[in-house]
Amino acid sequence: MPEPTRTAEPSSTTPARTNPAGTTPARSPDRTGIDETLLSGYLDGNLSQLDSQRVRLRLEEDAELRLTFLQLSLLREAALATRFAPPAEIDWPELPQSLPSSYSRLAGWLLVTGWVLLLVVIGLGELLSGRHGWLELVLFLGLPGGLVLLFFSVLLDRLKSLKTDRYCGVER
Amino acid sequence: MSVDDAVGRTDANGPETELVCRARRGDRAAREELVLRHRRQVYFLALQLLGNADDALDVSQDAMLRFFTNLNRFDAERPVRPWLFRIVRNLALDLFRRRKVRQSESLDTYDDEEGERSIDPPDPSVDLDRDLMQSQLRRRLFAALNQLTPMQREIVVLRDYQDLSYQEIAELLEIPLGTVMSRLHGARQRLRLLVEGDLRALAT
Repeated sequence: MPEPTRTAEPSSTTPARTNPAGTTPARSPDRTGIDETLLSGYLDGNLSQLDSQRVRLRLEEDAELRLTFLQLSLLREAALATRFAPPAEIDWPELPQSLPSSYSRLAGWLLVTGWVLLLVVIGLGELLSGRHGWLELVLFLGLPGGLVLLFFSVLLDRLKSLKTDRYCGVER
Repeated sequence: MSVDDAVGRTDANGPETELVCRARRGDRAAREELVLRHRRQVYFLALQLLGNADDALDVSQDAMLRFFTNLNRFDAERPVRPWLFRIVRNLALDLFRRRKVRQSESLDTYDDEEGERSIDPPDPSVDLDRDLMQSQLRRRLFAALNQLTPMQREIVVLRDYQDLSYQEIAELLEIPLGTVMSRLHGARQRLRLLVEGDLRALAT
């Protein structure tokens, strides 16, 4: 419970408040002797001593107001007592990448890509020179050539998912 | 005491200044620690504001992402939680504006073992156990939040679910204290009418 603080003007000087849409209009001070808005302030311990005293007196005299206050208290108790289930561990928000990890990942990809491309270019050069047999070339180019194709297929998938993935900048 | 100091009171694991500074320098452990400290509260606030778990999880993810993306603009001397609350609140409002949030699946979001999910008015002839009635009130109350305007909902959530003080709410929403009280009372009155049957059963 917060420390009681003075938050509302005394009802005698409180200007008419505009009710938010859809709310029940507060009863006028003429009828209840207080601005009913003060009930919430009283419930939350946020009124001045004078206003608290005024509300307390009205509550003693007015059974309907007392019922309203009791119901508001029950509402607050119910809300405070509500417990919520957290999501499953796997669903928790993901941790955004840090800059160093982003840069090292980028550098790693560039290095691997450059190495594979260089190997393929050299292999193709050797193929065109006619100095090596087919078996040698397949042994030489099979792995990097396959990696290039695999990389290309992953790249295509990534590019496609980038268009819809809002969380492309995060990692688990 | 400012709202940041106040809302940050729940950061009971020690000052976060150093953590934030380390996180800025890219320290992964510090970032993980910040996430672990705040993700539950961020998720619960989003859930209370939005009313369903999927949207809450989306907003939580967005909020964390924005938090870390803008970490360099954040004053490390201030507590983290109020800033995160502002982000969550703004994202929730954006979501409300963009589309009508899926109506409450909220009966599934309680950490409550009782299986009572009836939405019929309580039958006064049945002598329900008080605990059961209170449990039912909590469920109905949370479901009734969906019928408030976003403005009403957020103030009830901040005060009655998150238990923030008027001062904290005023600073978070950037409204005067008197407005906090009147807006809160209007929202509570509407909620009271929405769950009046349960309240009457409990009050007698």
